[in-house]
Amino acid sequence: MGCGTSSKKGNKSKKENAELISSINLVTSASFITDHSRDLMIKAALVIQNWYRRYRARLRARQHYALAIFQSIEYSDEQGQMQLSSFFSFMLENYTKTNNEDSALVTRIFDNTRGESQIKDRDEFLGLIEVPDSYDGPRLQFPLTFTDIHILLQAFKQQQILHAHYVLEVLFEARKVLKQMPNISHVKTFPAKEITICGDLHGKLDDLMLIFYKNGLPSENNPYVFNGDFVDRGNNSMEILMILLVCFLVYPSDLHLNRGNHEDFMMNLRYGFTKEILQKYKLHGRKILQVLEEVYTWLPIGTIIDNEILVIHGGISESTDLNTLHQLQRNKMKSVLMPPVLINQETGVKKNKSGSNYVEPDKTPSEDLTKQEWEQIVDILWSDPRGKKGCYPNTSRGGGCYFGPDVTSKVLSKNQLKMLIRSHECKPDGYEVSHDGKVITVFSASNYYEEGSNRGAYIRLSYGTMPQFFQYQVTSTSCLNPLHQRMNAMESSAFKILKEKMISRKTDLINAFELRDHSRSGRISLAEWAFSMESILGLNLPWRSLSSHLVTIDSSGSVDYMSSFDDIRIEKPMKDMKSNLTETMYRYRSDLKIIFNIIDSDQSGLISMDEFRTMWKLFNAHYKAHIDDSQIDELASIVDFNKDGNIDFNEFLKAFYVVHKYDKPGSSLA
Amino acid sequence: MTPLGPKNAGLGSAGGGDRGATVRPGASSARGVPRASRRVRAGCLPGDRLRTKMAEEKDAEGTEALVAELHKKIKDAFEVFDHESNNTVDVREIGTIIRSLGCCPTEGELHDFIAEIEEEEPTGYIRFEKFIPVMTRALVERRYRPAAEDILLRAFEVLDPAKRGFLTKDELVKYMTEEGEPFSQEEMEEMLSAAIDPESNTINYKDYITMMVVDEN
Repeated sequence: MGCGTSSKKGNKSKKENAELISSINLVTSASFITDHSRDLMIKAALVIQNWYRRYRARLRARQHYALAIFQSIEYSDEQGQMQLSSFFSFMLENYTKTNNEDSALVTRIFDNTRGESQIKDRDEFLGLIEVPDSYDGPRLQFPLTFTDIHILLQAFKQQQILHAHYVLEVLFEARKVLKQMPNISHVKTFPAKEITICGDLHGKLDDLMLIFYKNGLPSENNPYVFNGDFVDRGNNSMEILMILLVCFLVYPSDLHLNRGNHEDFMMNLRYGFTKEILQKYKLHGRKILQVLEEVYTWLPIGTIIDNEILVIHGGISESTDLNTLHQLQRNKMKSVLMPPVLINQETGVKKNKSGSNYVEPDKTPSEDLTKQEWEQIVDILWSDPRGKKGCYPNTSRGGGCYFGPDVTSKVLSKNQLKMLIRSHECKPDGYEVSHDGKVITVFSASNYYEEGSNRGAYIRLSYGTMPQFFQYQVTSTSCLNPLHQRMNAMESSAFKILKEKMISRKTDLINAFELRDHSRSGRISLAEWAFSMESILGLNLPWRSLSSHLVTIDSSGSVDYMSSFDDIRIEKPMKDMKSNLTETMYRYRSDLKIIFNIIDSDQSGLISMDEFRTMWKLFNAHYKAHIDDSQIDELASIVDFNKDGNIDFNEFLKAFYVVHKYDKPGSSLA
Repeated sequence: MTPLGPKNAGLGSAGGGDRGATVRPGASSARGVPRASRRVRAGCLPGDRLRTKMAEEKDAEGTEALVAELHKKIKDAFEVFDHESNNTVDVREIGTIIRSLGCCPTEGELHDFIAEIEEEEPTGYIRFEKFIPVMTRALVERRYRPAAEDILLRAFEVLDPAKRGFLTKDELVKYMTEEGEPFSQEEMEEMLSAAIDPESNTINYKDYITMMVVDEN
């Protein structure tokens, strides 16, 4: 976008500029203000202000573009997560078609995912874990008091780690107390209290500390609602969870926790919390994961304030029914990836819920929710408000729906409520009001995608007053950089991950480009390029505006479509591996990681070659990955380094990573 | 930005008017038409009329395609700020959108632009259908062109008559918040955070301009 030379200016400013230039030439060393030079000064100020405003607007637009990239990739990842669910269903359906060995594997997967892990006996667990005298981290005393809150906060500020023994004690205690809470808590602020509502924290400890610093610690006079997504993505999910659970145990009537879509052990597998736990707790991590899985299911799903305001993590759908939500057994919702399965006891074959419309009531196992109940919870945890009327499947995320202002009005008035407060979506200013003021989104993790990407916010409200919004942004040294530097950093981060998405679909993209490149010149028009990008990647991004960062465009406006791939490639573990195999492995690596983790029932980190082959056959069939069986065999045997018939799948997946040309070695985002 | 349509065609540019030359068969861009044929007025001969029409249509097609591209570009910029995906944006974002498309209106011009596209009873939101025709026109007519860098430099120099090469923080704040179309506090703070050298509390404007211009890539 050229600034233009003086010959291309519009008539008006050209005249002004000409005047300005001639005026400047007249002024010598004015040391006194005359009318004429004052006039000049005003014009000069105008030029500078005008220029600055344009500069600032361009920065803000770039910020928004970068955010759009981050968000659309995040949601498309979530969608991938939901697709796993259908893969599991697919595996179950094909269960009878596979041979004996395979069916044994699938049974094991099925049993694992059903996860009826028996009652974790508290003493059995705790008895095995002792806190050594040499431990210098925080020590908690049960029953917990506000002193323990202070001890924890102090310790975490100094980056200490809470011992596994205490972690488990807190989890067991929390499970005990949470079990007694209703699905939806009712809270009153009347007559004199104010309540604070916080949104997603996603493991960002600095934000929680900042909130407590600005807004005070939780207490009987300072109640809080934490609206889900405490964990995943950030580095301190464990610390946040511990602080929140301890505060809850000390003030169970004043600290309210709502379940978010990330309070889900399967989401944690993909989005980082599981990894954090296993890294911080090398010995006892697996025990913690087991108990945590169950604690999640006991988290309440919502809060109603003053009988007027509904606080839930995601949103609603047109079928949201508070009565159903009040009554259902929330602890049966283990994971969004594990929908209820109906057992046909006669044939012993397990059928997916979508496989059959006819349900004999006495055959539904009591261990499952009904289809409607399950969908109600998914809607609450996953939906997003939009301006369009009606209720549509949430195609970005793959779960829940998009709900319009008419749905909001209907559901609120049906339940005699006035407002919906939810979280789940990152907003540049930390909060957003929509649907005519009936829906408020509050998001409390500042710098969520990248330094400078967004502010965080929290809400204070009390009966009869308008909600008050408080915004903040955590500053580290890099955050003190001026706006344009933070913008550059954020932008380059966004484009980096976008390019990684592109390279995971390189073959398909090149096919699409070549389809339009009739003369095989390596060039197509910008419009053709944008169309191809969207049709393959489906990210709904403004490709034209982003094109200059992704691809080389020559002076005639043609796109050199191969130039995107110049500075990035996927590392191959095998030299002559076909590129589509590499890309497929890279693209599905998160899904594969989850599947492997589930197959690996003894959690040794290893699976056998047979298991690997079987699993891959099924994966190939469902995802239509078009990978040759022989390629997989070859690959597997190469990754089996010590030739003992076992594959270390973490090593296997690590073998596929993206190399950016200008990166330092070891800094890739594998 | 690529010019709209073949400027040098003997047909003249968009805006109609007198077509002073005939067109060679098959040529939509007729430079170097021999002097002799210029004495013949276009449209005199039937073949000429047809060829003129064809060339016009080709011109129109080219323009159409370019306008279509412009529309897509405007749509992209608009949608990034359309948070609720309902083809409206907050009126306070309009300035940002226009500027992100390369235009540089003053606050006054922005005000007029908004007045043209607002609803009769202002709702605080601008609808896309109202925005796009006005914005397209602005881009096609190349309105609101930004000042060149040297003008920007001279503007700073006017405020620095002693030619020190810098402005003090107080001076800059005074000019920016009291003259012209004054900055808000937020705008002032943001400009200072990038421009000011904290040790001397001054703004070296040459460096500042260079930095801002580089960022425009």
